[in-house]
Amino acid sequence: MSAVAERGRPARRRRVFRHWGLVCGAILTALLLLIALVSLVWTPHSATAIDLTQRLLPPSPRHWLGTDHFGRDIASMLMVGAQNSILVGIVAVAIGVALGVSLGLLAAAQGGWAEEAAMRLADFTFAFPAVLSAILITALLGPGAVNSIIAIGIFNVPVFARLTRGAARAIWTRDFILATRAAGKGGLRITLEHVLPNIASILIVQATIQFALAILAEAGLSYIGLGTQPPFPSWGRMLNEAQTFLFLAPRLAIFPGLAIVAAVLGLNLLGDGLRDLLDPRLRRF
Amino acid sequence: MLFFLLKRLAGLVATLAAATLVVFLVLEVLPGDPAQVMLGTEARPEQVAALRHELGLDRPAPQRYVAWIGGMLRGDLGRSYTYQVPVAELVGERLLVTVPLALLAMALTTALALGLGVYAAAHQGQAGDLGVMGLTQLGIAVPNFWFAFLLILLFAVHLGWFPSGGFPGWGAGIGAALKALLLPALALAVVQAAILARITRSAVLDILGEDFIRTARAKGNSRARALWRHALRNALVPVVTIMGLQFASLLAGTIIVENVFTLPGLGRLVFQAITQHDLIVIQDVVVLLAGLVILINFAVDLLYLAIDPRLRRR
Amino acid sequence: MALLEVEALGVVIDSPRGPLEILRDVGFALESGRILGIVGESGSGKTMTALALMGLLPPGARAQGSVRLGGRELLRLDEHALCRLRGDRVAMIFQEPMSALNPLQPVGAQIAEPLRLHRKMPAAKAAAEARRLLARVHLPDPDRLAAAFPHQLSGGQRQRVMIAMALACGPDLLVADEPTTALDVTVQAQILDLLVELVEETGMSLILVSHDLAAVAETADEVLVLYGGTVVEHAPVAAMLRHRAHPYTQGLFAARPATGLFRAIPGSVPDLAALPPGCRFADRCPLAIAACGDGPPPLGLVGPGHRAACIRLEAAAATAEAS
Repeated sequence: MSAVAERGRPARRRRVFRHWGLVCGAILTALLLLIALVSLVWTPHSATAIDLTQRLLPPSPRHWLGTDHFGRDIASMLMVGAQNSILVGIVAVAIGVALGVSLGLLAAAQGGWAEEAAMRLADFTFAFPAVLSAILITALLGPGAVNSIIAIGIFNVPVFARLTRGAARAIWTRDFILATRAAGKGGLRITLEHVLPNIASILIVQATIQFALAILAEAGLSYIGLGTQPPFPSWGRMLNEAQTFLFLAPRLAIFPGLAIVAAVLGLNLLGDGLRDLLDPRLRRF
Repeated sequence: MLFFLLKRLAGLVATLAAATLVVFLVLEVLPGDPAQVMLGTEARPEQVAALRHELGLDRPAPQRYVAWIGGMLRGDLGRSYTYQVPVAELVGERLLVTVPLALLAMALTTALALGLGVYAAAHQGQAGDLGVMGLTQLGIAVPNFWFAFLLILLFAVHLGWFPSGGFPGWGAGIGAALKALLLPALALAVVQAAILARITRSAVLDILGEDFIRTARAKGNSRARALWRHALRNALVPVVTIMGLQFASLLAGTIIVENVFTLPGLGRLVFQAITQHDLIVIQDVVVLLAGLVILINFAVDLLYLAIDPRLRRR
Repeated sequence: MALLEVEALGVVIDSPRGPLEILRDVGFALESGRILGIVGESGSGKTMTALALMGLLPPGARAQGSVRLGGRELLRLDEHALCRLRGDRVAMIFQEPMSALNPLQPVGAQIAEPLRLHRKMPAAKAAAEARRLLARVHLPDPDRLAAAFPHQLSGGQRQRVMIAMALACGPDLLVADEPTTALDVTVQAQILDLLVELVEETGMSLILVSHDLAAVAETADEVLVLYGGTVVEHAPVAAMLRHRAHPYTQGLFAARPATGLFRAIPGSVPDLAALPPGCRFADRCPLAIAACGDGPPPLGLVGPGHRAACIRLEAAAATAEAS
């Protein structure tokens, strides 16, 4: 009764806001994907060709966003950089999903010491943010896109492990699972046939959000030189190079930053919007 | 209560030990010979062999691990290969930059997040709430080093209020030192504050629906007083949990942001160590940072006890 | 002049389908030192009545009509003035004493809070007063208990703490919303006894909101029966025990477990979003006729101070006679 009274009006206004967020997120994400796809076949200029006669040009009809200190076309670099961000995001999330979800499903199905061990491991991994593991890995193997992807992927594992464990445990307690158990189905079959499909939507939502975080982390790693290596353009790398010219040509630093913000914001809005759409009860922050 | 503390303490020691083991094993398992990495590819085999011997790499791994841990317990972190000084010495002075930076950033994060989160919760569904939520959504999407650029452009270049980088040292006076740390701390704090503000908001909203808030109002507390005196502290448990996790992100963030502002902290040290392949420094700093994160999360566990008497039972 | 005079009190909620009148035309007067029981099923509006008196209606709900405490109109007071009144002149205790107490504060501090707020009492003095109040609600070892947290107390002890908190400033009116519902049966009686004792001692008035007609009959001086947000019967307890005029009250009385013959009233409380224009009990009433749907039945006098809202009072009296 009172709940209805309390939530009545704000809820309606927020629903409009929520869907607005979902639409914005979907548009931004679609744009990101489209730009990356287009850049595979066409960019206004070469993203890597150096032309020192065209250094640090301001935006013009020829160079939409101007050129950098090597005379490379910034718009083209940003477009190709989108490929890089998407690739890193997908692979890092895939690593997190593959390992984390298996760990979480196992923990939920087995319980007992297996669960305890898996969760302690997950807790422990939180002590190593992506940057720390990346430092450790690159220290020996040298910097590079692959190593940074692995580092980010490792950081994704505990996130998915915890989420999967919690959600899967809730499914395991439901009546229909008990029924299938009574029918003699094994733990693995129940997990694959009933538990996984039921938590898939939660995992998709989290994957979207981890995708965004991976883009942020990759930008950070590339910025300190541990990520994607030149000449392949990446947004973080562009920001690293732009720092030298921060006072001279601030726009070199502005555009890649805006690209990161737009991509991450889009994915986050999409993730939040999907979560509300799939299950409003899951909304926490 | 005592049992609880002892259990937590044992957990802390185990986790710290595990952290050192993981770092050691990663460097052990990954392909690549540390001596070779340090000397570069042009080094002659005799040189490499000599360094291997100097570093004790010719001894078996368990023995080296024990020696490393034993040294750390005595405060001996080994010797930096590039600087040729004890790592403990190097790290000690860097900690005086990184730890205050992280603490300042955490303080800014907390102040911003609690203020915005409680404000948004108190105005749920109204324009102020939507504004804060939109702002935090944006804040989460901003890379901290890029935000640092923006801060430098605005406050250092345009307005000239703050230095654009560098650190005068604590000898130059607390004011000057803090001034140099403020922009980096702000760059770190804004992103974390955006996340924490959302969590604070949802935690406070959960508590505002509780019966004891109605009791507080029935006693004559104003809406604001009930919020600050009764709701906030109850909402603090989830908020503090996230703060513990955020401290890890903040420390990792210092590595990046110290490079933007050329601050002589741990991040800068580890960065230089990477370019110089100084594995001893890298190994120590990574363990140190991970250890700091673990310690902070231990402190968070103790903080729970201070906040919530119901947890003190065991 | 009575201490509390309530006239034509109504509560309206804005819903997507238009305003809902969840409480309509509630009126009564309460003298100092008297106990009024408000009885009804859940959803009858009894808690809304209590919250309206306190000015603590949930957001989106508005009170209309008139509530005068000591001649002062409460519904026109601003929030600031209401805050000064709540916990000082009017106090309230709630159903679930576990969740109604702040889990993170020692109970002593919670009892002392109204004194700190309204009397501006220094901390040490308020703490001493809190311990005295704990003793007054017959809690043993007040010094130790004042430092305890709610989770360390039993349900009955918690409700006594709530009462001590409400008593702190010596209110003129205490509103108790289902104070015993969440407690064990033996503890229920003790809490009710304590409330009666305190009323006799302090001369305050008590509004006892309950779904338990028997508990109210043993405790209160008069009873107000609510159904679907309207008053269906209002009588002194003695008169009510002799004769229940309204078919709903009769049903409620028969549904008491104490009578041995548990006859629940068929059907359920009306949907507040689709209230009938006439008598709100008509669709569950065994005596309903077509005319019951025409309009809200007026509150008619059936005895001294005894009123009931029903157009079938004679038929109801006949069935009461027969059973």
